[in-house]
Amino acid sequence: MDTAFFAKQVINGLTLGGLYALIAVGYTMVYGIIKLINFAHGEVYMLGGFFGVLLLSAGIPIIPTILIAMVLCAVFGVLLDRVAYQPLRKSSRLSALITAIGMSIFLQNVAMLIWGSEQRTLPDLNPVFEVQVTAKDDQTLPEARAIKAGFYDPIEEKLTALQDQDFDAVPTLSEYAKQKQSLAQLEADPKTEPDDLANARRQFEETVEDIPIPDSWGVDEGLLTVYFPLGTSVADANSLLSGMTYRARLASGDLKKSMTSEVIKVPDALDQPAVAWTMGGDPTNIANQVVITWKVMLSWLVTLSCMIGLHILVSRTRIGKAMRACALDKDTAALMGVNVNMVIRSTFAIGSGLAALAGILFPYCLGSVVFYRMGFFIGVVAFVAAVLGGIGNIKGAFLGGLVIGLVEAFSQGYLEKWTFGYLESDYYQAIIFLVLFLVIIVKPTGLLGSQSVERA
Amino acid sequence: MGERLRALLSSPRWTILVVLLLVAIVLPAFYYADVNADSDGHQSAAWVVRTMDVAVLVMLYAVLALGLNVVCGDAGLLDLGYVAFVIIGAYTTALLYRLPFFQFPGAWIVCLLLAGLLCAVFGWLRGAPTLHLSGDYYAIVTFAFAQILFFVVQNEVALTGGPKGLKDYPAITLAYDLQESEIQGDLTVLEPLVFDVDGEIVPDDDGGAIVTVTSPRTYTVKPNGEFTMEDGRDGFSVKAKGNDELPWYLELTQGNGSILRADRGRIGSFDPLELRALRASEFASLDEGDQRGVQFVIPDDAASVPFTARVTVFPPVEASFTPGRSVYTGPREDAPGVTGEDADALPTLEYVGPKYLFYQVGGASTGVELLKKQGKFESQMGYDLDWTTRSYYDTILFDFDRDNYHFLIDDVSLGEGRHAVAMGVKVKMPDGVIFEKSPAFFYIVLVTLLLTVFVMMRIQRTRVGRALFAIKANPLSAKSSGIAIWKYKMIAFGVSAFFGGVGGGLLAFKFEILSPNVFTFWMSVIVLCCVVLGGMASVPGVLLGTVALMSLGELLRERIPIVDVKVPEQARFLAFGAILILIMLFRSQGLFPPIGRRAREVDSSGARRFFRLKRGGETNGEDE
Repeated sequence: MDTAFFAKQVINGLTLGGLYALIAVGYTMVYGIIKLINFAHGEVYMLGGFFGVLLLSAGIPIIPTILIAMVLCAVFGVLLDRVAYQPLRKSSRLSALITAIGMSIFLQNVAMLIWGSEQRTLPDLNPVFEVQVTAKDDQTLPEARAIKAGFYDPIEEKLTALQDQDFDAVPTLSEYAKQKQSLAQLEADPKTEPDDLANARRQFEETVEDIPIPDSWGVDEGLLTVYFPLGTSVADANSLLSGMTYRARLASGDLKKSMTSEVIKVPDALDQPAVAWTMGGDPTNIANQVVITWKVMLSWLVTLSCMIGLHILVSRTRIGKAMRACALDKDTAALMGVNVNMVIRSTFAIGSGLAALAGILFPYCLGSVVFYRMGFFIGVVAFVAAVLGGIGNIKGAFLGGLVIGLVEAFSQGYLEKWTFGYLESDYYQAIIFLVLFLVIIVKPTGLLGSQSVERA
Repeated sequence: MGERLRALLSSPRWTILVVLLLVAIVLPAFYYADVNADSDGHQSAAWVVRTMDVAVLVMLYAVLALGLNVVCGDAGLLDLGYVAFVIIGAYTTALLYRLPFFQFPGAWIVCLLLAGLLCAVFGWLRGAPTLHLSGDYYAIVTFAFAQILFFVVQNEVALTGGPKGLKDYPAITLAYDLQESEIQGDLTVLEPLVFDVDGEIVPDDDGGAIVTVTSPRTYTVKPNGEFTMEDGRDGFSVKAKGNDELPWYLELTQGNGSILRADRGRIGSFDPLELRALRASEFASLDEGDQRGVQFVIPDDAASVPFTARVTVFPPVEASFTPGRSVYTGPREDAPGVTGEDADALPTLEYVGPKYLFYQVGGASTGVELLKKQGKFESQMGYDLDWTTRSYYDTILFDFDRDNYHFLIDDVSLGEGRHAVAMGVKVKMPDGVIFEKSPAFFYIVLVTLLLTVFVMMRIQRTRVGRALFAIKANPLSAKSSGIAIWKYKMIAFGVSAFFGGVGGGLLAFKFEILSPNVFTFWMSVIVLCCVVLGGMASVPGVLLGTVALMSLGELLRERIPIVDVKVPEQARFLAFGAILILIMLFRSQGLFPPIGRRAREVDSSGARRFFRLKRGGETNGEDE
């Protein structure tokens, strides 16, 4: 077995698992206290992702973004409980469960109506690019200008901010193409009057001249580093930078025309390896290199500290004691002076806040996409994790999350091999559900659960 | 019996249902079977077609909802994966029905029953290990089961077609005796239009040729005015207006008298780069092998060589068929009575010149496909048949001899008033193919629903229903009263899965193509919505709930008349979600709960608490 590949799956699985655990905690705490599978929890996670995209795009740094999103989602979770679940505390559990499913569908579609159905990525937090620049002669200039003009339109605003140019008068590429074509036709036609031809040529030259060339960068050859404003997406920067012509103002004061090619993303500091080692054979082979990036380290650290913090909260503090009391017996807890609704709300707030954290860390650390249905599958996987660990048990949720993360990573990596190519790695989702199926049938209490499961 | 009927009719919910049933029985009478009807109004109104379509969907979902109700309502177990049985039923039916073994009259019923039984087996397999579970855990197991099945369907491409869908299965066929008939008809064929254009050829720098037309610049072909020719300065471009399928070809007479023919089946632009022209001096410098590809040699002193191009255009022709049957020829959009995507289309025959025959039959493609699979298509004149499949139509392309202007026309009934018209080929087709839009299919679904309702009523009123009710109310006391819990639960699982499978099988015939995208978690949710909205455990309630919800869902597909806005597809699910929440908050027993329990058990406590209308006590108690 390829040890490096194995190690990579372990790292990947632990990262995934930690993030699943953050979501699973929300399921498990709510279930522990009000015996409700909060199907809408995945949607809170989705909201967290969207808050992350929106706040980061607005230029807010990552840590305030996470904190704001967590607070917003915590408030949202409390509202969710107040509006949908609290009125049903005395109704049958089936009613509450159906309400939760209804809430999940409702929130997903509200999100789709508000933010559309396209998949988004988190904006690049370190939008720095290196561009290969080569000096250009004049002859190819009009073509290069036209290509650039074609790219300008959709992201005009960002360009203006970048280079302080007025792009209102920029002719579009199609306009340029049209003019070029008509000029070519006139040139090909022997019956064209020479005056007309000259006129058309001049008009075409003017169009080309109207396409502005930035002249602010002082490099005409070599590598050029370009800093974009925070929130610029990689795709935007890439389409803007590749194949553009500009006039470099050199230190000597001369102007030189240059053209860009080969846009390279400068890796984020957190994308650099924190630990790297080689395993199994040839160290130059990239397949044998195992890397743990700072981002992965960060996600482990955040997850672990959240879990420890939560454990301390539940086992050592007053509110934690109240939570445990409510989980045991709400009525008795109420008689002892515990404000049960308050406890439930704080449970929702904590769970939703952690889901929001996962909603940002998932796309941030693993590059997953943010869209209106993202909460459905991951929410269910997190629920599987909660069930696996023993629902109602926070340590169980953590353990279950890690196990499910490892199961997912390994079935993605090895399923095809182990089934002799019969099952493709696409089946990893089915494997997770199979785990859920088996756990519920064989050991409904989960790995660490002690609470007895109701029987018919 | 009469007394029972009177008692039945005295209940408003049954009265509504009986009225709906009568409407459903009468509705297909407004459906004109003859889709070839002329434009004098002998054609089904669009609303009839649409209403029947929606009604079939509602009835199929009602079968599913009643099936789900056995587990959800009668047994009180939440099933979030009912779509699993719909998937098994649909794919089993489709896969079985296309086997050669199952091609006898009535095989479709056998397939449906087998699918149902297979589902029942799966229901037991899923139910047996989960007998001890209830509530949330059972819901999650069902959910996981459906998800696993969904991924299997999506990934087992060899069996299910994967995400692309499964479509090679026939429509319901009642009779397999092949009809063979030959009807002679005439085609009025217009002579192809031929005209010459003059121009000159100039070599360009790359060794290609620039073909410039110097004679009149625009040609318009009458009588249909569908063909316009424009010359462009960059080259010789021929453009068609109106009819993309019009074939044409262009013959280029070269200086030495030989003819170059640019032949295109479709109108596009003629690409001058396919021609090569060189100056005489350059030509002389080439090897003999390289010279072969050069069509035009232009003397060094001449700027260009003149040429004459002959353009041949085949205009659309009128075709006449058996007296009494008028066939529209022309674009489908303009055909009389064709509205919207779903409207039942007239067969459109376009004969576009002697070279090609395009023949399209809207909606009848299944019958034609069936034939193709059975290999019964006999070509009488030895022409190759080329099939191209479009999204909705099948276009059959017959390649004819250019000089033959008279053909045999075969008019074959596909049953249900649909006719296939083929020319020069003798077609054998099975009679009695039932398509998803036909009244026969409507009645098949209606009868299935009535049978389902009958079975469900029987179940509720017999030992099984009472036992399930007892188990739901209190499992422990049911057990101590001697009720074999596992037995009745297994019966419930089996019956529920069986009807899911049958409903799924009929859905397969309704959809004509099976795609896993239809059978997602959301389908389970919609069926669950139908049950919850109507009222769990109440057969008339579930029926009315299904009618209400599915009609609402289909109405949301239409444009809203006054503001002229179309609700986005997903917003329908928003409505479903909202309905689930509101029903649970304000009337958790459903709109039409079982009569006996209505007075006692209507639970509006959720609503009261929602509006903070407290009636004593704190609001944070334990459930139940």
